[in-house]
Amino acid sequence: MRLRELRLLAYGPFAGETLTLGGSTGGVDVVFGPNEAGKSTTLRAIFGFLFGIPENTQDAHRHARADLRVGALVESARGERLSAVRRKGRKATLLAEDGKALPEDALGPFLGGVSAELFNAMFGLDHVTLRASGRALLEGKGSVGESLFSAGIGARGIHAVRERLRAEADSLFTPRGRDQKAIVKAIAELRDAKRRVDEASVTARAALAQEQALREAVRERDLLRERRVQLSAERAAIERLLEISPHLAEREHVVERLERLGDVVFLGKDAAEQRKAAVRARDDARQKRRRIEEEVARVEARLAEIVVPEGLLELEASVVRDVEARLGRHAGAEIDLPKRKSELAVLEEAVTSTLAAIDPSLTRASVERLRVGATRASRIRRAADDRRALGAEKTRLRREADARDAERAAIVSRLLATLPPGSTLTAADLAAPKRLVVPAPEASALHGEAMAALSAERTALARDAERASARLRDVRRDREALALHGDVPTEESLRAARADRDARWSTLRSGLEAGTRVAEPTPAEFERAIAVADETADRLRREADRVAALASLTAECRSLEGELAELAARRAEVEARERQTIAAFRDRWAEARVVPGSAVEAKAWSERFLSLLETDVRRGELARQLDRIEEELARWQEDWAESMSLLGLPARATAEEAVTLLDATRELFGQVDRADGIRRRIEGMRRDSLAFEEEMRRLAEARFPEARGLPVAEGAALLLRNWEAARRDRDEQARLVKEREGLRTSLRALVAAERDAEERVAALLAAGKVSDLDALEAAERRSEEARVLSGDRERVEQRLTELGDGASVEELARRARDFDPNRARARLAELEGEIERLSEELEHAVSRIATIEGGAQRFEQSRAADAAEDLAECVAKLRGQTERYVRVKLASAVLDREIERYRQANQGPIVDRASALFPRLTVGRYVGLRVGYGESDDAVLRAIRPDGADVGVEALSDGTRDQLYLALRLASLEHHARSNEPMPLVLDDVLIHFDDERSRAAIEVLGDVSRTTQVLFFTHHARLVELAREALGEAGVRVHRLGAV
Amino acid sequence: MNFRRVVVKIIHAADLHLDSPLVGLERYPGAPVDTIRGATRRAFRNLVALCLETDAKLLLIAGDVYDGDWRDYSTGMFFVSELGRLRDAGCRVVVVRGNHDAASQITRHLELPGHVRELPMARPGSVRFEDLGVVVHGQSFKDRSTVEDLASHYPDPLSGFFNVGLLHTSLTGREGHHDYAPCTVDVLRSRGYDYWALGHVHRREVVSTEPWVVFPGNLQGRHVRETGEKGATVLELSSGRVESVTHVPLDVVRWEVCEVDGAAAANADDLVDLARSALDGAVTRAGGRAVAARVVVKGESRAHAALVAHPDQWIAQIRLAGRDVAGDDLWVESVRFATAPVVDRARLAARDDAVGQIVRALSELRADEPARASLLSIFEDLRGKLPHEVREGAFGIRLDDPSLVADALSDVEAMLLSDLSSVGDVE
Repeated sequence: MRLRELRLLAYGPFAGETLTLGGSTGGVDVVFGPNEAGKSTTLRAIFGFLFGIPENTQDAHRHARADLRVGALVESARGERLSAVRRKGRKATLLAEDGKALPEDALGPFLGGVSAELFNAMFGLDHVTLRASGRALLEGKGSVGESLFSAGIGARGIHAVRERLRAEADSLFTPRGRDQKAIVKAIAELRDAKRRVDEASVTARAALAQEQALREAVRERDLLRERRVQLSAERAAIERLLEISPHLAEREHVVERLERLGDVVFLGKDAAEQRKAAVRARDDARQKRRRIEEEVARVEARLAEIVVPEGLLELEASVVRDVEARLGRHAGAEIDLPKRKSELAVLEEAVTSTLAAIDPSLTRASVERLRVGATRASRIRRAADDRRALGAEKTRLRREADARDAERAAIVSRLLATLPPGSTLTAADLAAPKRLVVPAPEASALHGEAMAALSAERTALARDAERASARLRDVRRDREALALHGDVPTEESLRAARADRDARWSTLRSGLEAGTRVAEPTPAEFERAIAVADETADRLRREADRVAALASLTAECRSLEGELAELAARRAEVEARERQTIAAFRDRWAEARVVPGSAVEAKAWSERFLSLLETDVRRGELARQLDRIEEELARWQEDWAESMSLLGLPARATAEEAVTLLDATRELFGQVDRADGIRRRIEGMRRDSLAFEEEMRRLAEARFPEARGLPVAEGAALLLRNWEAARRDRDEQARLVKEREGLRTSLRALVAAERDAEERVAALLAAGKVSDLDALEAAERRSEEARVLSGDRERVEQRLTELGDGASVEELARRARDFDPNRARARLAELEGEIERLSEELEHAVSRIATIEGGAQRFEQSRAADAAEDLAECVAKLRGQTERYVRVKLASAVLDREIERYRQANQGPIVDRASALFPRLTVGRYVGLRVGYGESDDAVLRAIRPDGADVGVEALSDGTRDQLYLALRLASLEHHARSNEPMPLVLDDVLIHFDDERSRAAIEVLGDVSRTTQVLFFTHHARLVELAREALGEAGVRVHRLGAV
Repeated sequence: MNFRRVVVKIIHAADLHLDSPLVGLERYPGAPVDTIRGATRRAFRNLVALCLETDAKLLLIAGDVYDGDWRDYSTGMFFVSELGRLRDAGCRVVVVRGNHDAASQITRHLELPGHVRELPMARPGSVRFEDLGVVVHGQSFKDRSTVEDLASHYPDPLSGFFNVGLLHTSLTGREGHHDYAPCTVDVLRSRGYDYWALGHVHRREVVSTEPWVVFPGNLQGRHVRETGEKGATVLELSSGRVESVTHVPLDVVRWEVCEVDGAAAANADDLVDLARSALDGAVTRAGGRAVAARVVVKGESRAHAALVAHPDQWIAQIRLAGRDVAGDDLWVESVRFATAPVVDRARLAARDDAVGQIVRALSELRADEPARASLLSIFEDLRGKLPHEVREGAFGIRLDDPSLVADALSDVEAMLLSDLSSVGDVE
């Protein structure tokens, strides 16, 4: 098969590029693509076309996966052709030209059954594979079989494959292998598992024997148990009798004692207690009764002592309290009265002196009219303060007004002083400045700026004019300097000379033509004219520089003159504008009758004028404030006059006078009022004293004669003392009466208790059937003894009943009659030994049963079955390993056999052909190949040197070994291409390790090969393209440049 | 006599093979070892539980309670103890010995309880159940290989009773089973019984319904050839007539073969996914039971080369997938790659080159038995060492049998083609 055309319709970076490849006439197709040009992509495209585009292709970057398309035209050796397109997908990926799906194996006849992997191995070769294959030759020690097989199949590592198969087989099993061989190990495991099954299995015989042994052990255990029960019963009976016999003896003793006591009156268990309690209660009651009786007598004696004055007590408590209070006050007044009197005298004196101080004409009576109310007094004081404040404010305003007036005068004089000359404004005008119309300072400022701008412009113009003038002067000087070197011929002077010459000639000629002689000009003159014209012309030419300089200077002169005129005109214009501006400015000031000077001065004047206006405004404000103060003062005066009349002062009295008077009267009235107060108190005391005396007299008459004739204070004190005493006595009397009542009640109760106790004693005597207390005590003792004995008997009999297992006491007594405790004890010891021995035997029997049961196979789960599962698993594992071993071993054997068969069949032709190619590829370094024999007598390849000596593959350099492999590979391809459908040989930069000479040689060889089978030579290297062209000529090579197609 | 007009339930089981192991399960990391332990015992417990639940009055066991060479007596004790649970429920048991039981040492010594009747070996016997209106006829195997037709000597049917024939037989032969007590369905029919309770064949089969001739199959599948539901047959009688015959699954580990179509896989990873879903399906079908599954990958597959080159790797992957699917409820018994490469073998064989030569050589080997036999010599060393458990039996590997080579050839070819065309391992 040959690829005649490769259409990269949509693949990797390509979109529609087509490679037209060589046909059966041979020639190498060199596909040249520098890095990134898509060389590898093109290789993958070829594979994609032939075998399908891989699922995970890396070439779907420009085009989507589903859109990938590679088309090709293939041609078989027999000339059959197929043009198809491969698309990416899982089914129907091969399409005919018309887009219809082709059968998936439509390419089959062209591929000869070769799969992608085989194709790659057999017909693809790159430098890496080449180098690896060369090295494989070395590993196989040049074995002919392996070498030929490797080259034939393209599999570089046939040696490695063989080794791998052998190694795997060996890892599973070798006849004399150790345990680490997997199969040997598995066999051992299996045997082990089998042994465990056997060990875990319980045989029927063993199981039945165990069962029998168990049954016997159980029977023995049961017999032992029975015997032990019997002996234990006997032992229990003896032990019981031994226990009972002391109790029987005790009972007998008690019964005997009871009989001895005879008849007994049974008294209560607490009979003695009752008797003692009754006697004690009786004695107790008696003693208490006597004590109370004494107490009653004492209380009655005390009552007889107390006498209460009933008359005095009839006085009501409030009256007594009143007397007590008045007595207190009376005593206080006695001390206070003299003090108050002297105090009053002092005050009277002070009043008199104060009055005199205010006004000697005033008396106590007349002074009262000076009492003004506190409200009015404070108003007068406030008015006095107001008067002071108003005065101060008026003074302040007045002072400021004066300051303003002075300031104004200063401004006016300054305004007048700075009035520019020519102004007709007068001081009179300034008296009413508001009427004047004066431009604002801002107007002057604007005027100043305008003037400054104009001035600057004028200055600039002047400067320009000055510069132009200076330049003009320089130019003129230069021109004059030029002229100093002789006049400078000008076009003008030439024209003039020529005109002169022509005029002369014209004249002369007309003369000549007319045959007349013309005096003027003479020929000499004409000649001179000619000479002059020529001279001028000559000079013009000769002195062209000077002429030019002169012309230039003249032109510049003219230009500068023009410029100066222009500057002068502009200056005049600026000056006119200045004048206009000044005139306009003066107009604005005209109404103010001021002729303004400079803008600055005018601005200053305007500002000053404005300050004059402000001063006037402020002054006006001050005048208004002063008027208001005056008004307030007038109003105050009116109010003040009214107040002063109240105080008895003249209307014009000053505030200080009024305040002084107010202060004096306040002190005076304070003294007067205090004196009045003291007087009233003295009067009150005197009145109280008289009333108290009257009261006491009345009381003494009516209720308390003892106080008659006594001074009032003594009488009152006596009354109070006696009244208190009477009250106390009456209270004591009441308390005693009550106490006596209580005592009498207690007495009655005690008498009753005494009687009760006596009755109880009598009853006890009766119960004991005795007549006195001593006899009663004796009866009680007997009764107690009888009771204790009865209790003992009951207890012993109870115990016997318990021990006797239901037998009556009499029955027990009968049984015990013949019992011999000593013999019984001997028997008991015997039984103990017997039972102990039985227990030991029983224990043995039980443990024997446990041992048998424990040792018996527990059938709930079978350890043998678990082991059998293990065994089955081992078998499965071993089976798996064995199956793998069989396959690997077979593969190894078949491969070995086929390599040998292949060698035998192909060694002759292929080695011959390779022997021819090898010298070419090594450029004569070697002259051929031969088959020799290696260490183990197998056929090995040897390379023949020009001197006839041969060397093994191990002696070859890496590169030469590569060439040896290539020779074998190409020889194989050619050999098989004869009988098989030849496949394109796809070489991917295979010559990288070759030098130029060997590369060229290799390409020549490929050229030969291409006659048999298509050769696609992919390379990155331009140099190889060149070498190919050199080696094969233009006809023998087709270069496809990727990235340029 | 009159049949009682009540429903009588009889349960028919066979081939318990108590305590025999599940075969072919190679242990691997993560294999659910405990899950499959005691499977046959648990299945038998399920049988006893079924008798109790359905209030069955009669349990028929048509032979092969034990495995022939099984010596562990505790298995017999377990059997007796489980049957003991039926006594109190009034369920009686009739057993015949099968070929395995005849060979078993256990049966010789084991004493059966009173409610369990074993039919005699020397001649056919009958057990009458007057209260049920049922009579069971049968004969136990005396020897392991009983080759005479036992059924033809069975007694005539007992009139007025429901007649059951209990028989361990391979009938006219069943694949994978030895021919024991052979007989034909016609012979059975001619006996005039109402129901033939057969045993021996492990696959459930209703051979006939007039009269009923039934193999219930074994209780628990024991290897990959015994796939699907395993259990016992419940027979319902009403007024002496068969009312229904139902199969009840009792197995605890279900065997399955999961086939995976290799052609559907673009690569080996795809294949693992396909196997995963196949295993998932098997686990779902098992309805909560543990599953022992074999994965068989078939068909021409692009993954073929990868599978053959590194089978262990892909087997481990599929087993891991199995663990994902069902954890301890699934044992991937084995993974078989029966795939073929996507190559045109005919065209390859036609090539006159090294590849063609190998393909041809393998084809020739397939056809050439003497050549295969001669190749067997390479296994001579191993042959003497392999234990008989691996060499013998249905799954035995016979290293002296040329068909062994034939079986392996397709794998060998794949391995070689894959190795020879390997381009991936440049150093």
